[in-house]
Amino acid sequence: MNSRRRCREVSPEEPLPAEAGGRPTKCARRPDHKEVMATIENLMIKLSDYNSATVQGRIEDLSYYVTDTLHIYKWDILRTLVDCVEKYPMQCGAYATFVGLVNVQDYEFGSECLKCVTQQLVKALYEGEWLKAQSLVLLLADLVNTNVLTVGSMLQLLNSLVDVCEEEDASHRRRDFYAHLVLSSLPLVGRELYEKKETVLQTLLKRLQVYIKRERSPGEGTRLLRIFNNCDVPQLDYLELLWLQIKRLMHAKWIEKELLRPYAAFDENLSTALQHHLPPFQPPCHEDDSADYPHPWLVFRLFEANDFPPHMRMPDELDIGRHIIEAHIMETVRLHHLERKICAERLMAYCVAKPTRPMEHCIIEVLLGQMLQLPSSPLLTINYGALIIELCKLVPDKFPRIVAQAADMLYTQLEYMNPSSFDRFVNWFSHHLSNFRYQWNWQDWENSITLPEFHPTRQFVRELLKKCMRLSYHQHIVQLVPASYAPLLPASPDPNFKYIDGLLPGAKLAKHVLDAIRSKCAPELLGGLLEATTELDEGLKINVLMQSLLHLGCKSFTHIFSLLSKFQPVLKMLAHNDANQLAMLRALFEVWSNNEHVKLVVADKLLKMHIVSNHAVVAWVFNPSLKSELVKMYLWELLNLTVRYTKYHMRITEDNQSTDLNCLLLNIAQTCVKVLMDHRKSEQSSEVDYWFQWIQGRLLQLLFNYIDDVRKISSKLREIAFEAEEAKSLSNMINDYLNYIT
Amino acid sequence: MSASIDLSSYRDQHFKGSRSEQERSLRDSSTLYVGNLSFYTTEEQIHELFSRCGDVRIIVMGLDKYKKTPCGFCFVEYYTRAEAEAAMRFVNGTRLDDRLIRVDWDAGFIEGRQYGRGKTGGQVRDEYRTDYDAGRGGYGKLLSQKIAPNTDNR
Repeated sequence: MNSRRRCREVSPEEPLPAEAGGRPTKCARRPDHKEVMATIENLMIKLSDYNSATVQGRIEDLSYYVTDTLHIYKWDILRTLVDCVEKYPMQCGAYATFVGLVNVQDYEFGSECLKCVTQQLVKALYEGEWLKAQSLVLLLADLVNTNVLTVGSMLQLLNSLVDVCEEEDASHRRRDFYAHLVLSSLPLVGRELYEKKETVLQTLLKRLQVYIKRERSPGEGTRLLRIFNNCDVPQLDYLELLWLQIKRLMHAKWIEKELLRPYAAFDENLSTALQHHLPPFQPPCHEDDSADYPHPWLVFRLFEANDFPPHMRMPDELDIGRHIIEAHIMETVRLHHLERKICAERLMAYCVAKPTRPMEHCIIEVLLGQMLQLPSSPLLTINYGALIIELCKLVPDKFPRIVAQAADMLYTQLEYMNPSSFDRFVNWFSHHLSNFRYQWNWQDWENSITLPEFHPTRQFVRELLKKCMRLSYHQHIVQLVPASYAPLLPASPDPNFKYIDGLLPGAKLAKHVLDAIRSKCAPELLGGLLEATTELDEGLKINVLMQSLLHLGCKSFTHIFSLLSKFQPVLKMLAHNDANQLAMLRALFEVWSNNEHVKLVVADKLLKMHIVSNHAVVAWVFNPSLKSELVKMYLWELLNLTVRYTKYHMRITEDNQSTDLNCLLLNIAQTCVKVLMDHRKSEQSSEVDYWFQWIQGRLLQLLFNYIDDVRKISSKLREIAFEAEEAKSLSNMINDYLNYIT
Repeated sequence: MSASIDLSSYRDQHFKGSRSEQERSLRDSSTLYVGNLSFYTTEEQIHELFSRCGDVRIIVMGLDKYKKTPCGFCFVEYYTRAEAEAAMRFVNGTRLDDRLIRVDWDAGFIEGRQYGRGKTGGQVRDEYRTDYDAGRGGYGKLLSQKIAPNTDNR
């Protein structure tokens, strides 16, 4: 009653009542089109707030507001409806309720709405807007629940979608997508379909079962996407898992409890409406295989039943409730990840709405799962990191503890973790710790000290300490960890200038060079000095010059960069062939052998100054003297920087051929495979070959990082796979990758 | 909703150009001002943190005008605006060297802007503040002079 009165005050058509008794009356100003639309849009967006206490009121407000304005604003309303449902698919229950209430009063509107939604669905399917298509199917499902659409029509629609699964020459991804579309609607409307047309529903499910059990072969495509290469942690294919969850739901007679179903409160009113039918539906197809259907993915699980607090229960893995909760969390992250405070607040609102569930665990599981996901993460690692820090600030008695628990659980599985996820774990955790004073139970991880040198767990602790050191300083990290950590600590990151020793060949030239630079000589003078030194070969001269520059600039990046910049002409002149460029990089790695950060940044700078070429960097990284360094993160950071810079340069010089990039990627793949095969031939031990696993995994990481670019050279990559025939794991990996990207 | 990348209320009084020109530069900029740094925070630490958001083109440390030592701020420039926005969203208000740092848009580095504009050579805020901050030279300059006049507060 109250809301009806409130809404009538907001109606745009009604003039303000004239006051009796002498007060001046105002002329009613007719709100213009823009104002009305703004109000409607605002009320529509508000429907997406996840708050069961107020959702009824909000739906009523909107339906009353539009009742008087439908005939003018119908198309705007429908457009806004589709936009909102596309953004907030998990809230389609609220939107379907709104449509249902209007349909009770206005049969035409219900009919127009269904026509519009179906048209938009066909359009979305044709144009490859997969999320939009899915959200419209969910809306249609809920429109059955709100008595706008008949059960028979919905089943007809679902059956037409399943027709695609039976198309013999359709691609796997197209068929999977349509199966997923149908399955994801069933939690919403399964109960209605079961109650009204059980046999038709059964037949539909049988058709799906045939597809999923017999026709699909999920293993191959998704083997590479496993974050862990052992079977302890469940990593099910998304469609497999959803099918199992639907089957479990079916056995539970389609009773589903996690969704907010606002229409339940309006049941009496909604059931007075006349329902509509849908015209026959034809899923669009494409002449060529041009549509880029979604790739398969694996569902990440970290926590098991006994990891949760004892009084709280999470729906277990095969429970559809888990799927619903995760979908809601993922929707919130997708919409609000750019504004971490708002995102954290929205996630907290969802937690508050489900007080009996360990929601905080679920949120962390979803965030870390996305962060570690293959082939690549949807967002930057630091995006997840910033969001997790915000959640820790918001609920300091829960999130920090759960994050620590999760980090520890990931630590125990490190032996099986792929390098791509490993790197993100290191980067995330170092940044996270740096925001909390590096407080951690370091003694819990002491066991890593006794492991073989290249064992992933030992490597993790080493890389983590190095990253923490980069964010703070060496002495700080030394003081932080127990004394037993000594073998894992990085060396003090100081430079080493060998020409301090006056007896070394080249030391005399070094002294002249240092004196010249200190007296602020011009680059030409230095160039002349080097030319005049005829008793030393060019390689040694380069080493002397580079070491001297690095020695003088050792205080900071700015110091090094300004020296490199000042003497760029001399360096450019000397760098006239590959051997000399390699000599420069060698000198850098000699002076700064204890400081990976400087090696990385200065090598990158030399590349960006066009003193060394991208191919020289590749040759340097894979040269035999760096073999044991190749397992470390920083060399691959350098390779990835090199690829990114080549892409950036391609963009700014408007080079559409991308031959430079293709050459580079092929060079990296080829050189890496060669290095791996050489290693295989020389090392024949029966123990686990961690070195080989690292390099193989890092190659896959690089291929995953640049899928769109590698796709263009996939035929050449196939040739490279032949060269790896004798190392089965390597050739299988490359072939699996090639299958995945096509 | 883009609150985290909105312009703050700070405008550089020394900017050569109109207010609206400054605002236009700020809206297109890929350069960031980073404040509330410790005097001891190094360029390397700044590079490591900000590299998490993208490829850093250059870092310019803010220096005391007379001592030419770091005085608690810097400029970070990325190659693209998108990377700078990521830093505004994910680094602003988090910790570097255990201090909450402030990241804000900057219209672009010009020679001379790396120096503090306070009377004694550091940042203006360090002239007047009254709290004790071990990472920023202890008490503010004016207060330090009152406590120990004519003492060089190094």
